[in-house]
Amino acid sequence: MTQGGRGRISITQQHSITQQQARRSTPHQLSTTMRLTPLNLRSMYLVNNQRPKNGRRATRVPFPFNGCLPLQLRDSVSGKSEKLQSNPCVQEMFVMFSCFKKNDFDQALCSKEIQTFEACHLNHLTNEKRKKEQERRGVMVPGEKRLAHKQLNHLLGRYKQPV
Amino acid sequence: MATGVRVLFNDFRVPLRSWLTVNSAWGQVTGRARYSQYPPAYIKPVYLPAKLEELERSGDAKQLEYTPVRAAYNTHTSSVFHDPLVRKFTNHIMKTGNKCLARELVEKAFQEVKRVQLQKRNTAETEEEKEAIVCDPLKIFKQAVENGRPVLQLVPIKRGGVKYQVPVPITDHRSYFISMRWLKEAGREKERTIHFPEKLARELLAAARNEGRVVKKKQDLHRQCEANRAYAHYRWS
Repeated sequence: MTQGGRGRISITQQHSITQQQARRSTPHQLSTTMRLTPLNLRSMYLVNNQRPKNGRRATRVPFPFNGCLPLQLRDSVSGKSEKLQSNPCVQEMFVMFSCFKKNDFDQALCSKEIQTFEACHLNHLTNEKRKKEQERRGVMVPGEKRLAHKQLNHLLGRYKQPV
Repeated sequence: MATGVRVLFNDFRVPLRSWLTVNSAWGQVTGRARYSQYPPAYIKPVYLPAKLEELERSGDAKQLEYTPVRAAYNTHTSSVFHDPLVRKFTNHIMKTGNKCLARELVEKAFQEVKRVQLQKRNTAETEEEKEAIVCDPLKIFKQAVENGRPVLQLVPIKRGGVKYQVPVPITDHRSYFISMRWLKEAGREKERTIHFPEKLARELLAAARNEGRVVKKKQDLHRQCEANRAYAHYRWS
């Protein structure tokens, strides 16, 4: 009987040992040599009568694919990854910074740059608000490259997966 | 105003922006409030006489005749002495609902500002100098708040266990709030013998001249934003 690493006996060996023990059915021998940890009879190694290749005990007991979740795409998309916190108006900000550095952070001399930066930010806010309102109402602009999750769900809801 | 004085303030460099023309939902009559004891159909009361006249002129008053109105705040008066920015500032200074004390402090601070400016004006020699000195504490307060407003803010974003201070654009409301907060904090600094109204008056006058702690804080913030400009480029997801 061959042995695995670290003096431990492989699963198949243990299985055969218990079977032998069961056949002999002597209580004294069972108590000394019987396996104390439970066996997973659905283990790949037992099912296919294989041994692990690396000679080590598998960290996770392998099991056949059981498919807990349905093998089907969902009718909705999650909006969790949508909120990309991008920094708007970076270009205007940098122009403003360069002006600040030149004039030693004197705001009065950089009024134009500050105004363009604020206008860009305001524009960004109004766009966001408009988009959010559109999303809420489910209005979609034809030819838009990126749709929000609510809009996508509206479209997907029209063509649902067959049950 | 004399014809010789073209600019209202000779000392103040940042131009004044009307508090009421700030693009915000505060000036609007209707508007969706997130959490309100009123249903969305209820409109905010219009208490400023100028706005009421405007509504009547444009014809919107007819439409709003039979719309339900929310209850008005006690502090929203159509008095000549009412100013929304001062109201905001008083509320910010107020602690544990002591509006009486907050109002007294602000009024005392304004009195002190007027005293100082009147003294300056009376000691001035030429007529031009006298004209140039602004004695209206309200104007000085508004100018001080404007001069203390930051243009952008630092937002802490945590990534990989490290908190990065990212420079980000700021909304008008927040900039006004930060300016008023800095004024209040400057008025609360050490010097136990000098009380809050006097300190606040000093800070208001200094900020209106683009000097003092508040303006220094604003410039320090701008400097730090400029130093951290590299972080602005990242797409923080």
